[in-house]
Amino acid sequence: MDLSAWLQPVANGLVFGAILALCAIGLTLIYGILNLSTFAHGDTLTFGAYMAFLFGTSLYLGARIVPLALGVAIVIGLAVLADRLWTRKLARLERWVLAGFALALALDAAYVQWRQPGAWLGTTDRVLVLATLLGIAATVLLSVLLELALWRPLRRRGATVLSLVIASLGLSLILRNAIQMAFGGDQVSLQRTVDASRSYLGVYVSNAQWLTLALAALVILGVHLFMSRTRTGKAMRALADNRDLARVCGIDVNRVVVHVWVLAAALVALAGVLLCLNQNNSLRTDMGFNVIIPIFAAVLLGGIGSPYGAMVGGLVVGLAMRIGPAKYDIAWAFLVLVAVLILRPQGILGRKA
Amino acid sequence: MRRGVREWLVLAGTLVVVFGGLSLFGLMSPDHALRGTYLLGVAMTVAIYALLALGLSVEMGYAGLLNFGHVAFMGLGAYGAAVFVLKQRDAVVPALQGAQPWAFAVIALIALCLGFLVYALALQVAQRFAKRRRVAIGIAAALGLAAAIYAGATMYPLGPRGALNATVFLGVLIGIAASTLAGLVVGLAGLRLREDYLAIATLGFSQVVFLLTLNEADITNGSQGIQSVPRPIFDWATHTQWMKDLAKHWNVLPTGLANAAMGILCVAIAFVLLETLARAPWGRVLKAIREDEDVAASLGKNALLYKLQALMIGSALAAVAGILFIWNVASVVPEDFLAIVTFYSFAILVLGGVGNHKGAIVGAILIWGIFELAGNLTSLPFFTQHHIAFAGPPQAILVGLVLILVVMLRPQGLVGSKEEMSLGK
Amino acid sequence: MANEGDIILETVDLRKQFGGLKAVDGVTLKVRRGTLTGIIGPNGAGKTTYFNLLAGAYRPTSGKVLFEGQDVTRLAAWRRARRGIARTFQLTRALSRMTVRENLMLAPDGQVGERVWGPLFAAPQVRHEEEALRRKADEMLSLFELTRLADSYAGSLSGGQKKLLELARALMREPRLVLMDEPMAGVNPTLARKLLDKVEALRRERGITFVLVEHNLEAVFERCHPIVVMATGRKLIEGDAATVRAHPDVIEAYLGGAA
Repeated sequence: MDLSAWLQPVANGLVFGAILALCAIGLTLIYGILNLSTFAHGDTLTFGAYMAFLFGTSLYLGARIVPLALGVAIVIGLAVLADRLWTRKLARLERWVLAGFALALALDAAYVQWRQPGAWLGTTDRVLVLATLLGIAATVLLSVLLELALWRPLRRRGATVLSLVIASLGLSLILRNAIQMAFGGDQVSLQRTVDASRSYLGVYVSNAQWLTLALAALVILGVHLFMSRTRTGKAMRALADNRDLARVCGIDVNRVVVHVWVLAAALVALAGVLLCLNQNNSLRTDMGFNVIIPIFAAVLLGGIGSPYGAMVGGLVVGLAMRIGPAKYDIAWAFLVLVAVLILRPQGILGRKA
Repeated sequence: MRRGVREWLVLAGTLVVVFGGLSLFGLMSPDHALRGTYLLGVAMTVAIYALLALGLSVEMGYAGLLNFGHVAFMGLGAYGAAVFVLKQRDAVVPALQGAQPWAFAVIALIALCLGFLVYALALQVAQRFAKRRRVAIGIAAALGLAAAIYAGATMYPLGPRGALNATVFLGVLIGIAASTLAGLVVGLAGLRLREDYLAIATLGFSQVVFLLTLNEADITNGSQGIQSVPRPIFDWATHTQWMKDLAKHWNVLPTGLANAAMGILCVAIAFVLLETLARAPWGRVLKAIREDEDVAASLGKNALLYKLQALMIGSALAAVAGILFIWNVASVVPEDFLAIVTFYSFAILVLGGVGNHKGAIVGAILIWGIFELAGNLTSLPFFTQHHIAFAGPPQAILVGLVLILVVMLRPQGLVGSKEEMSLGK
Repeated sequence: MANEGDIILETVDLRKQFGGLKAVDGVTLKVRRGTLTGIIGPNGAGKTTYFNLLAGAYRPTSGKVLFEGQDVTRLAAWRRARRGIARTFQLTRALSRMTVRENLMLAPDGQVGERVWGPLFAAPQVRHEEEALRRKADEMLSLFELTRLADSYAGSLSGGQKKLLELARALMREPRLVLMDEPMAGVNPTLARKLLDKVEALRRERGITFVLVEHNLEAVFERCHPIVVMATGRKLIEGDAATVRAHPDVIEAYLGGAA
């Protein structure tokens, strides 16, 4: 009995499922709280990965001052943001911080082009961590800006579900293609040492896969603690559960919404980097778009608005996609989706509407 | 000015501006013949997208369905027709030549379909002019019968031409039928879902269809696709003297002229039929269902049935668009039917005005006109041979911007009106 | 005309449970043809749920609904409408993006033009039908004194006018039973009176049966017979105004303890 042949897809599926889970948590909160099924979530993942790649390239090229300054800016900025986002418009300081970070981002890209025009070089293991953090920060910045410039005005106008979906579709197109215009259509890779795999009872697990699992587990634990222990986390859950009631209880909806975007963006950007690591260190401009259906399947399976459900849903969908034949993996995710919609539309942990 | 008149003016104006602009660029082309043919090629692509958008208009504008998998129905129509012709050509041709009875049934079927189509169109015209009901029906029926006889006659002649025609047109029927059937299945499964769930589900559906066409190489020839799809319009144009003379007179290729004419004809027919349905009580029921399904139910209307009908009509139109497309390029590959085509169609529809048929046409002309103009102005690789699924990043970004801007600033689109139908409620 | 006095609507031990909540807890009721029945009760008594069960908006947890002797329990709302049951809504739902006349012309069943093949292959017949419908709609408009609003968008009507429109629209279907959900809610007394006068006239002249759910006790006591009182999901009592008014349980339910 060839156990390893059977277990290998399971192992792969768990890793892939962990990545999906990270994406799904953010999306399920956005869906549950804002009633927004954003098709741009997949492309946000791509954005996060490419941003990490951008920062990695500049670090690779030896830029020292820039990332250091950026790192400091991020830490200060995020701390301040996390603490002071209770006004509808951002206060002056935060605006300057964000503007500064955006400027630094632009400078970084310019620096790369100046040093080695036309070539993107990737990153090295040593600086991957910093590059990832910076990439996450850039994605958070993008999401918050979009919330302020696009989603909040639309919500205020009372846009219908139809309008929101169309807008998210437009956003998805813009994101994906802007990345393609900036980075070129070819595949790029993160430069890393070759990924070592070791065999456990015939099942090959690479370092990248272990890293993914470990990180995902840590992050999920962190999310759990955040959701259950902190005020903002509990407010998020309350909002996802019953919006009007939460508002009546004095929760500042706009502030929590921004926090939701921050959390979702951070998770999905991390997922993007992890996905890249698991795909032979390569990035493609449609990498996020290709997983949007599985992410939605995970969200629906777990129940909209339930982060715990999203975690479970992600794992299940990931397993389904890797256990079935490789050529039709999307089809399996689709089947899960359809099955959920027909049999139990509220998902595993959701409540009947 | 009355709204109907204003809409026609917008449509006419868009046509003039876009094609006028494009022909200005054509003036710069040294080869005169190519200029006209180029414009006709653009017209053909616009027609294909107009059909797609019209189909989507019925689904989204009238039934409120978000079908993100629209391109799959186009692909099913195209593949249905192509695969059938590929596999069955060898069976149908000798059958016709040997005067087998079932072959005649095939011809009769095709003739009937054409006859019914002509009858429906003729009836719209006849009932306006004929005072009495029976006269109108009589005229329309006579025209329909004439069309049926003509169709039967041209398809019958023994010999490869006649038989091939019959196979090709049977392929058309099968392609449309396959797509409509798929629409029925998807509808039965998904119509009870909320709009965004349906969007996700249909997007997934189109990805699965894409995978199927890519992987099931036995049937579809996989990623190489089906290469020698018969092109009845082409053949007809190159063998018909008056068409060749007309084309020479206008300094264009006869095949280009015939293709564009066919495309425009299809759009015109679709437009007439859809407008008829929309103005009729049928359209009224759909409007009611879209606005308030509970009220419609309290008035005895079966919402599911109407939505299914809208979805099936949309699928059929997408299938026609797909068949026109493959007759234009003479090949079918899975990459022709990527999701970006659906997104283009949405942008066209949203720009023109959801639920407004003239809007769909205006949107198609505008968006494709802008692409072509931009392609001419810069030398960026915007297009290769009007390959409709090929999209450079700049177009896609433009499309995305259009979607967002319209949603934010003018949800009713260019031609639509705020009270009647818009993206917002 | 069918037998005055025979049972047109009947529910047999009808129950509806939402999770743990027993909204309707076994209601058995017989409604005679040609009557104007009023259903009253305190908040939370289950009147609206019961109403929705009659109309087909909800499926019951158990029990039966019978219309003209036929079991319609399993039928969806639109099928019940086809059988001859009409309903109005508590918060008026005029189709605001259509004109008043269009609202009315939409209502009747069996229009050839509503089938997808109708306008395409039977256009002259559809035109003929539309003309007849238009005449009927105009008659209905004048009956309800809404003629001058015929071409206005229904969304621009006042609340009271929308109520009239809804009733007119329901009547276009020539129903045998009309269910009305709080017809007088949010309507000024004059208009309310006018509305009920119409209802009564329709009952007398056309033999249509009406079942109302209402909070306006005065109007119900004045016009309805029989009156059904519901409380805590059950039928408390059924009878004429005097009986119901005097019954101690009724007073208790309204004034006394919780619903």
